[in-house]
Amino acid sequence: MLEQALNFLKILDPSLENDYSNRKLRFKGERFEIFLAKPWDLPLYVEERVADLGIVGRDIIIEQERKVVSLIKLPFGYCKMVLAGFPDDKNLEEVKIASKYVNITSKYLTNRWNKIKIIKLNGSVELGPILNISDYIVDLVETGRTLKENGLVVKEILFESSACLIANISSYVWKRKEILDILKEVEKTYENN
Amino acid sequence: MKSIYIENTIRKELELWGYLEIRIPIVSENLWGNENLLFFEKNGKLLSLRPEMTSEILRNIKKENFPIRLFYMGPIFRLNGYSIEEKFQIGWELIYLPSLWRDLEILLTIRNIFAKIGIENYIIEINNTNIWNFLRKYIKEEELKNLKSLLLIKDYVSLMEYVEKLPISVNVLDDIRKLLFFEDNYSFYDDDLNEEVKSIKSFKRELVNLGYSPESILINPVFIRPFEYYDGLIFEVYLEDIKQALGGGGSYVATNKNGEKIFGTGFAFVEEDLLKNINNNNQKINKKYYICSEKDFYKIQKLIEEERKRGNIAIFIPKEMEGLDLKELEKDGEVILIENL
Repeated sequence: MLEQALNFLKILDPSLENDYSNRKLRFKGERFEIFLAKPWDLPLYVEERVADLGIVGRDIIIEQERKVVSLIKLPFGYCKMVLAGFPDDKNLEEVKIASKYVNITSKYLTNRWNKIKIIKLNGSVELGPILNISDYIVDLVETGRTLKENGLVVKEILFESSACLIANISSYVWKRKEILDILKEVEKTYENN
Repeated sequence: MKSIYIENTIRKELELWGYLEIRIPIVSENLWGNENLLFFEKNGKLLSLRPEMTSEILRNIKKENFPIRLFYMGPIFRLNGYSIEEKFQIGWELIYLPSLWRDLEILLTIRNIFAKIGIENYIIEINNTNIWNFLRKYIKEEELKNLKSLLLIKDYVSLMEYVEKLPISVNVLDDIRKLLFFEDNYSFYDDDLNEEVKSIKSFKRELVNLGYSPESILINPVFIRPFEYYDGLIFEVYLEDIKQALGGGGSYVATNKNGEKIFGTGFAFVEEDLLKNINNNNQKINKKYYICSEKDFYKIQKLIEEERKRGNIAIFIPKEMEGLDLKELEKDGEVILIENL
């Protein structure tokens, strides 16, 4: 998503440099100063007003519930947050779900079964059902290929995710006009593409 | 700047407006929401440490015809994960029937107090809780509640996704979109909504007429506050270098423990957030350090006393003091070094 985000920013600020391969984490254009942060750290930077705006996946925004303003969806980074498992459903007293997204799992699925146990995994969550650690998984899926190769199927789409533009709450007050102008430009870019 | 200075300044100003200071018990049988601290006392009664003060005031106040003006200062407690967060809250309430002057007075007290503390750059975001009522014509109460819960967490992406699935016309959808990214020149399809927006704009004009700069008042129809007792004007105050709102308030309607309806407008903020901002900006209050030899203490008393008569803080420091650091003192006030008296 980094490349798409930077290409997108370049439409808004053509003065931004073209080559991002030099591993610089901070660079400046005429309009924006850009910081490259890890997606899971980015909402914190925006909440703390290290940056006024941020581009990050909706999955992370919903999972972290940080105090930021989620402004608009951006036209890249599309994927789906799904509940997946083996094709055959079992009748279970307690359902175990493995996921990196503990809050999302709890928020969307707590009332689905009598009892659920959420198992936090940091990666390769497909291993959960395969190694019998869990009955289902909740994960972000782009094409569904990994699920398919591991014999899993999508049971339900919890929500569709894409890159989103977020703002610091105070920046959205102090820089309201500038941010609304950016939103208008983004809308125009959407229409033209 | 020290907290005692802020508290004294606020106390002095509010007393000039006729506000009386009240003390509120720290421990309460009112259990509030999820973030407050609950504990069992030895007989098994469930108690809580207050997470805010307004609701406790409203529960205990008696209904009167005459406007009641109160202010309070004290610690509040919240649970932040597993840790206990203690902050010092300052607030004031004007208890009276819904009226324009009541809301204006609270905002004018804020302006005066900020001026006295030396805060020049701030924006007050204003809204009216009734602005979303127009949707009752088009969607169910439960749907409006869901929409407001998304407004509260400022998740406009999920909000748009949610309303796009509701059976509402393109025009209403467009009104919601305009509210989300509101600009002063917008007009709306729905007449009731237009009326509400007109009324907020008129409130802003009143504030400007009373001396607020137009830039310091921002109308934001998507801003809402978490407490259910708000009804009518709501507002939050943003200082320039702060990452979240300093504090907020609004007009409310609540029921006291006798079942009587209580109306009012109030404002509250956390003192630590204000201090952090003021100290970051390195603002100095009128504090002067008079430094001279111990033997000249009596000679400079007249000079120091004149300073105090002008309302300034004047502090004597003996020049002979071990480890005297003038640079450190300069961070806190003006240093006046007197030699050869």
